[in-house]
Amino acid sequence: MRRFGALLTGLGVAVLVSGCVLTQTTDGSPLARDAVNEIVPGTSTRADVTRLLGTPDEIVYSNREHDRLFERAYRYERTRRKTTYFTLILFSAANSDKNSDHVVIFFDDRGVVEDVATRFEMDEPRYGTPF
Amino acid sequence: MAQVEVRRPFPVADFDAIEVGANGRADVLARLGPPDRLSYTLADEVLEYDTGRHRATDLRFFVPSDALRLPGLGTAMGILGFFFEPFEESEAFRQPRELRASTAVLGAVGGLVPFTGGSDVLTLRGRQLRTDRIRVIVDRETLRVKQKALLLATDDLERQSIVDRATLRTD
Repeated sequence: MRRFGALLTGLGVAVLVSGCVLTQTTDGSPLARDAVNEIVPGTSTRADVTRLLGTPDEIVYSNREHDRLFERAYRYERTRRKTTYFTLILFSAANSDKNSDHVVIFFDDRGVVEDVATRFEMDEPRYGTPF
Repeated sequence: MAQVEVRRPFPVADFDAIEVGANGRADVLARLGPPDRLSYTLADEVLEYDTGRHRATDLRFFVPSDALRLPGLGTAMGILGFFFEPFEESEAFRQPRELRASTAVLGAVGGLVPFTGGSDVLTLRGRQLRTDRIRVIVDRETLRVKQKALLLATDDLERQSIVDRATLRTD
């Protein structure tokens, strides 16, 4: 009887100290594909880009001689991370999957859009087991 | 704890298809997408793409704070911590806020201490960070590809058995 009670207590402790956590974290400015598609290389300007997509997450400046801080490219990124976290007493394990929507827009010397690079993968991360 | 984070695999076929001198920046962007890092020199535009694996392993020992008052045990913990530098977590392994909170709660339960108490956590950490990188250099005047390179394991960092001591308080 005492042995059964000890076993039951041990099982109860194991249940209490084990856990599983699923988390989803999203960072960055929203990126709408329709808005990105309205940006036209050779025509759209920096003002058009900020009107459609908002403030960039990063501004890349060029540093050519006699170039003041010229805004050469804008970066927009929205990231989603899904994490599965498992713990049992002393041991814990986690698996993390991260994907992002990523847009980089290049400007020429006149401040007109030259190239637009896009990748939309933010909906693709998945929960997974850490084993 | 084993934590694996794998970024998207390299499109190696797309990298091989880039022709130095013939292709332009638009071709690179069409094949590889937006660069993870973009920088400029006086004459060049440097586009870098990363992929890699981050692996973290932790083994935690929960020691109830009350137990540290036992003769010798607290001293031993202090001496052990003296020989190891404070652990600084790199950005790649930094846990999100939700995980840190969950870890603290589960750690207190795992330490089998009352919720009004606390426990010391001794952690042995192992870290491995491997990044593979594609670098494409484009001429700023002509926007033609001048150079391309595939750099393997540029940040191969491995630490073994780093001892980190922290105190969890739940009161």
